[in-house]
Amino acid sequence: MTDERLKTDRRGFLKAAALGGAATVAGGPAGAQAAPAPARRATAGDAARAAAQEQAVAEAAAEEVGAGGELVSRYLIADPGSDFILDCLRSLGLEYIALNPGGSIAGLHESIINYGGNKAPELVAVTHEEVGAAMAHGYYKATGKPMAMLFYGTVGLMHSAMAVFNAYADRVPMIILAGNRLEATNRVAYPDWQHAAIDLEPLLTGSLKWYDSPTSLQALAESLTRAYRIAMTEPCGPVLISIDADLAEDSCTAQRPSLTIPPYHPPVQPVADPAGLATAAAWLTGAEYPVLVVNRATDSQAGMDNVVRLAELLGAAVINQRDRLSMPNRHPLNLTGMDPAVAAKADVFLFVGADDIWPVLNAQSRMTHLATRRAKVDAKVITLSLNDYAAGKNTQEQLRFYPADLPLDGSPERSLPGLIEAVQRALTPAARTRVAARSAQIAEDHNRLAANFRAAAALGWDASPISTARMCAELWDAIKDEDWALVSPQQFASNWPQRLWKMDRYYQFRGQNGAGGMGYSGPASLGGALGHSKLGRLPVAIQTDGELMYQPGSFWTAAHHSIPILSVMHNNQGYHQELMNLQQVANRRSRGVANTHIGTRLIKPEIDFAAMIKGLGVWTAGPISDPAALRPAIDRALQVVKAGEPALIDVRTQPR
Amino acid sequence: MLRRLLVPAVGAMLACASPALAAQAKAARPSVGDAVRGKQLYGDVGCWQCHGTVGQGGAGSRLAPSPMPIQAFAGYVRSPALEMPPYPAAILSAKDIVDIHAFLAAIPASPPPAGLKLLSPP
Repeated sequence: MTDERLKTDRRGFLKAAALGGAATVAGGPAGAQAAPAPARRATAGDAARAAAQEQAVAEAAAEEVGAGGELVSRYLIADPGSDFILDCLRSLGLEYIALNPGGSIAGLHESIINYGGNKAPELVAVTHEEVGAAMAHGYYKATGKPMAMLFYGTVGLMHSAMAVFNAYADRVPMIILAGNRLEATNRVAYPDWQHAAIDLEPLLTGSLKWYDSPTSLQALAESLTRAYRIAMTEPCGPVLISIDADLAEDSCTAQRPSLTIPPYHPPVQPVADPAGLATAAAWLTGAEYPVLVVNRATDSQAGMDNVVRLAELLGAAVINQRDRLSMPNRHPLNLTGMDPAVAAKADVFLFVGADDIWPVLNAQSRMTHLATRRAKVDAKVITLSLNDYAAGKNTQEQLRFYPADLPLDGSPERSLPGLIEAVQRALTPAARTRVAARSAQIAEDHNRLAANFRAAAALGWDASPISTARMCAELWDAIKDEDWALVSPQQFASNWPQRLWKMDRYYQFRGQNGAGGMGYSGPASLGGALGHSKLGRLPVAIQTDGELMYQPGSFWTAAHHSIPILSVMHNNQGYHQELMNLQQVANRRSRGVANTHIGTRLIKPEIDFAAMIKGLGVWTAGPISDPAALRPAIDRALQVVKAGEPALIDVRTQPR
Repeated sequence: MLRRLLVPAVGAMLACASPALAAQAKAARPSVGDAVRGKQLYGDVGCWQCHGTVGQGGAGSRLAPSPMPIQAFAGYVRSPALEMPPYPAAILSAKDIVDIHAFLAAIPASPPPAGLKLLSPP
């Protein structure tokens, strides 16, 4: 930018400031309370005086006179570094940036809304950094695209910590930008010092795949592209880039000629070794009862189709663990829910993107810790994942070690085609005969399992509070003809959606929170809704009372940005999982459960979620305890959501 | 995690409610307990927390309708398998168990799934 333009901009700024000042005086409280002045006709003298004053203002600005002249000269800048930083973010194709405002990020904030016109990326206003990070978590799982967030130094990162750990454990990428003022003499006073750090990484230790704190704009440009690629390389994960506030706020005119933005090229994900895949194929095709345990196995419909193809080629029973829908739940080979019986039959297991191996093969008491082997002692275990590349150094999300007989390192989704080809080559006529007979038997088991689910759902059908099975059945009947996606976890509702609904698209259920960190469901569902709604899908969520109380502010964001999402509350009025845990502990000590409601139940007062969320600008209904009243409420809420707005129904439910 | 651990408990309880035991239940004498007091106890001692307010099951197994015979029921309450906490006599007397069983026995059967439109097979 030239000096001429700089001057022009300064004059424009001064003129705007003068007008703003006038408006403040006229519109301020004092002005509002003053008695109206009597009307007076303007005279020729008035016009002359006004012209003279404007001339004086213009001359003062041009000559930089006045007490603050030099200060103003330093104050006004053009071509701020944050404009260049925004160009870098745009080059990565980021669509949204979650933001809770703060001083050290104001430079980039301003560039986004003015220089960038608040488009691509667009700011998503959040009331807590944990909401922003959890939204990014849900958004990625809905779209396969990472979302960015712009957080305020030390305090913003600390607020976000739980949600970032959830994402890390769930192998979800996100781009975290955190303001920091590295030059200590530029930190004026409180709270600049408290919000700055020598190194931001320790604030999210154990939750980051990569971190950098660049000290020049060129280094920042390169780090952003590197960070994005690292985040998106499997196993995916959050990355953090410190944005130095001075770099963002100061002019970069002098550096401009030498600044370049590195292009981003998506990584080619690692594929398992062909020889290892051939060995796996030999074991699987030679098995009497092969079992596939799938979890984070797919990120696309093609990936899910490959899981189905592999299972059908092998005639293998499939168990779908909790973190991603990887196998259609009504496929005849899906025996999820019969895990112990299936595990006991297996002679070869293939775990695909599944790191929770030990509990499939063993049963263990939470209280006594006594364990019994569930699987055959000589059952072979094959793993196909990149879990060893993501093992934490301190946090223990890698779960209990199991010495797999054949650990295959590779992207599950990218490696499945090679495994399918290897299986096709290895299948003998005798093996194909076994496959056909076994598939028929598994299909019978599947049908029996589905009938058991329906019978169990009928129990307590008319109970009040409403059974979770009834609630989920009513919700399913209302959405089953839509292109829907369940964006919340389902485990606290006894997994009834997976047991009763028809799920055959990979995006219809993308799992839980990753690390068991509460506070995920509200904002992550919202992030999922943001992504799915742009793709024309109907986002639905089952929210739980205890978890929703962590971040109810996410519903303000839903209303503020008009994000359509149908939320039905499983409100059992407590931290029910913890209530059961505490009951076990108390009874183990022979002290009874009379006091276990203390600290575990959300009663006295009962929380009025409909009133609370309505106050955030969202359409609500409830509380509903009569099962017959539920469907009409769902239909009304559905109309609101189809009109592009969020809706929530508070349902008083059975514990599980 | 706990949900996974509770699944075996559900299986164990369902195993107890095998066809043979169900036949015994039908042949057993009507419960002589105080169902009203049993309902109160069912809430107070926390049975509902895992088994639902009408014994339909949840994190724990189904208890009603048609609960298992009182002998098997009492045996499981005193000495449960896996994740269900044991209820010793100091916490739950024999009469308490009888009354809770009476409450469960008094719970009417739910409609069969075949008769519910929302639960019809796909």
